Amino acid sequence: MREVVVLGVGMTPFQRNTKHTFATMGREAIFKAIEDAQVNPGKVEAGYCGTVFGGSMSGQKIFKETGLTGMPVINVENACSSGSTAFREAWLAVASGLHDMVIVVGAEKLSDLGKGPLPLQMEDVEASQGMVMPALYAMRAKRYQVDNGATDEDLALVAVKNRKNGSLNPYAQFRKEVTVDEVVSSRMVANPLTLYQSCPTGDGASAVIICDSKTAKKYTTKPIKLLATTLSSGKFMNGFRDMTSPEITLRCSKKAYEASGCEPKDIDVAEVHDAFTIAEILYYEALGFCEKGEGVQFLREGKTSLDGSIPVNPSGGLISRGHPLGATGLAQITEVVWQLRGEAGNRQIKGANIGLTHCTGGGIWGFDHGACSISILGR
Amino acid sequence: MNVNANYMADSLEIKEGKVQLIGSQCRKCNNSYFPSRDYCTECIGVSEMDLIKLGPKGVLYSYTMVHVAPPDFDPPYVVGYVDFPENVRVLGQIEIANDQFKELRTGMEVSVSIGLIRKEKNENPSVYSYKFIPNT
Repeated sequence: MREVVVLGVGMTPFQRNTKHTFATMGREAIFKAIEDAQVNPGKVEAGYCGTVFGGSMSGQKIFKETGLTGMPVINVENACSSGSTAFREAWLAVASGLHDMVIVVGAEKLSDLGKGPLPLQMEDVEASQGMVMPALYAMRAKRYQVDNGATDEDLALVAVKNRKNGSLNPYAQFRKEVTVDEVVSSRMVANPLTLYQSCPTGDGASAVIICDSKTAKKYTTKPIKLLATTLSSGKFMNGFRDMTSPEITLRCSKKAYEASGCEPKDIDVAEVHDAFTIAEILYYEALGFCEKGEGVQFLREGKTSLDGSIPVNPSGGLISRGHPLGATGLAQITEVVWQLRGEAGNRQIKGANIGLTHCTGGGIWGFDHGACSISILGR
Repeated sequence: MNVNANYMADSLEIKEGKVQLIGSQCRKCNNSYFPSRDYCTECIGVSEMDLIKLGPKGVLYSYTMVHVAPPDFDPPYVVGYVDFPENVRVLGQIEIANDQFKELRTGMEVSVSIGLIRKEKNENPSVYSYKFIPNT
């Protein structure tokens, strides 16, 4: 496999009720990525598109708006991991030598679906009984509280941190800081999780251009190397399992660390899938940033704050930046690339050399989650 | 038990007023499932499955009160994961008054019952299926 690097990144601001169409939102992200990479668009050999609700031929719809037509277009759906899975397929195409330069776009317009939790398919045994994604995370939270003595206020600290980070990010859907009191007293969604502990639905797009490291030499002297990008899917288990131990993330991160030659202690910045506050705490542990059961203590000590030893979600994460499903995985890559280049503005982490992105989701009964994708990038 | 289930009724056995969930078990590896299935996911491919009754009692692993739900449901309602001795975990609604939610505990024993899981709404009829009742 060839070494692959990120040449250019771009994203739209994440927001509700964008005036863009699905396609023009994707176009804005693509044009920004092309400008950032400073490449001739004609050099792009293939396009990948990740989306959940974008519909049939979503990539063609977006690329048509940019003039990038005729090339192979691959459309990818993998729930919350749709964008990151498209990115993994794009990496594979370049790493294998099939293409030298490709573009990946992720886009979603969730405002069109109205408010409230995203619909699950009623054919699902659990959804038909009343299961929703917030309830799944809430039951993880409840169990974590029982097993580890974490309080509602502890969980709220994740939202406080990520809203603070988001206040520094011009692309974030929520730009206002919140207090612990405001978080715990906001409207209850699924006990113990409140509205401010939940990621919002919204609209947004992000795009990334990658190429092989030899081609990259023509365009940049400071490429961001893709050290690993891995994909896992859920393992079906109908019996007992520890819901505070996200097994799909454990398996996927093990592969990513092995492939990259990195260890958890090497990671300087991470963008993780904080769909709800409890998730970020579980992922500190599953990604090896701290021991199992010590996530809350790690958070309380400020280890994952912008000035901590391993800042997590400097962008504001899903809770503050927002979570337009297909766009999220690529927005995470974009944030880490900005951090590694030193282009992250007021939220810049000093001297970040290696960053990790983690995107997991999909509610199917019997699975921890349906899909998980992790990338490790370095400068 | 004053009502009959009209959803997943095949997965329930009612005898002398007591309700049990019916799952299935693989003859080869003994792995158990709920709802019952024709193929074992551990053995992959052709497998011989027997129907089995779960419990009757299970243990509450975790639970939550759902306040924001899909259009066909009527929040708030309580759901929980219940572990049965056959190593099968089942998600279901918990039959409990909303002001009794605080009484729930992880690790408590629950029984199976039949109850309303979705009220008549949006021209869909009421749905009755299995529910869990805390044993006090």
